[in-house]
Amino acid sequence: MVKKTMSSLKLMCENDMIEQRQKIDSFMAMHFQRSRDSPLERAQATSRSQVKNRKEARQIEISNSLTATQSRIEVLRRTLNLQRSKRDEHKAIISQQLQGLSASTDNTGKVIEGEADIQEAISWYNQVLGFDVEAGHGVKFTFVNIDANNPSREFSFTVHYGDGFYTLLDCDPKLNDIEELLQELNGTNNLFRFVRLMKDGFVKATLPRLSIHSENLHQETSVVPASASVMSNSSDTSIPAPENK
Amino acid sequence: MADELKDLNSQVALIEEQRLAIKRNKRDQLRTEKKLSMYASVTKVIPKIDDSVKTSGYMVDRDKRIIEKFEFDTDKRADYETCNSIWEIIKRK
Repeated sequence: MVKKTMSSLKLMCENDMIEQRQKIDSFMAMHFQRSRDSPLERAQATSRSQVKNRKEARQIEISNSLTATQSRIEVLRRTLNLQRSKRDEHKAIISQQLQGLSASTDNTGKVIEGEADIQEAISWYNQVLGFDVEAGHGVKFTFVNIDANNPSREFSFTVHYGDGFYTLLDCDPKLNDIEELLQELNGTNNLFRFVRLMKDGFVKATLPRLSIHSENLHQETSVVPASASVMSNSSDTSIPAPENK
Repeated sequence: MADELKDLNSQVALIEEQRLAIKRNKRDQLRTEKKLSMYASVTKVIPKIDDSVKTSGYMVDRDKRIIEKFEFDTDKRADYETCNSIWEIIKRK
C-alpha cells in the first residue's frame, strides 16, 4: 500500500516536475525569443517611425510648397491684370496722341511751306538790300554794299534791350554821333528809325572816299526815269527822281 | 505681355520725341516770322520774290497807308547800285 502510494506520489511528482520543466522551458523559450527579437524590432520600429516621420515631413513640405505656389499664382494673376489695365490705358493714350500728332504733322507740312517763303523773303533782304539781322545776346544789324571800294565790307552794330532801355553792345566802325542816336532811341523807342539812321551814319562815314563815286551814282540814277527802269503805281504821285548832289 | 508693354513704351518715347520736334519747329517758325517782321519794319519794304527777272517790291507807309511799287532791271544795274537806290527810296519815306 505504502509502496503504491509512494509510487503514485513519485509519479505525481515526476509529472509535476515534467510539467514544471515544460513551463519553465516554454517560459525560457519565450523570453529568449523576446530577447533575441527586440533590437531588430526596435530597429524596425525606429526605421518605420523614421520613414513615417520623413513621409510626414515630405507631405508637409509639399503642402507648404503648394500653398506658396498658389499664393504666388494669385499674386501673378493680380499683377497680370494690373499690367493688362496699364497696357489698355497706354494704348488709349497712345492712340489719342497719335491722332494729335497726325493733325500736327499736317499743320507742320503747311508751316514748312510757309517757312520756306519766309526764308526766301529774308534772303531777298540779305542779298538785295545788303542787310542782315541776327538775334543772340542783343540783336546784331549788319550792312554791306556801303563801301564802294569794298562792297562786301561789313558795317554792324549790336543793341540790347533790358530794364526798359537800349544799350549799344558793339559798333563797327564807331560813329561819332552814336551817343545822340542812342539817346534819341531811348527817348522815342523807335528801333526801326534808329537802324535806318545808323545805316546812314555808316554811309556818311565812308563818304570822303566815295565823293566821286556817289556823284556818278546819282548821275546814273537821274537817267533811270528816262529808261523807264523805275516805275510807280502809287495812288499818290509817282516817286520823284533823285536829286543830284 | 512683356513684349507688348516694351513695344508700347517705345511708341510712347517716339511720340514724345515727335512732340518735342514739333514744339521746336513752332518755336523756330515764330523766331523766323519775328525776324522777317524786323526786316520789313526797318526797311518798310515788302519784296516781290516771285519776280526772277527784275528786282522789285513795294514801299509801305503805314501812317499814310500808301503802297508804292519799285522795280529795277537787274541786267542793267550792279547789285551795289540797286541796293543803294532802294535805300535812297527808303530814306525819303
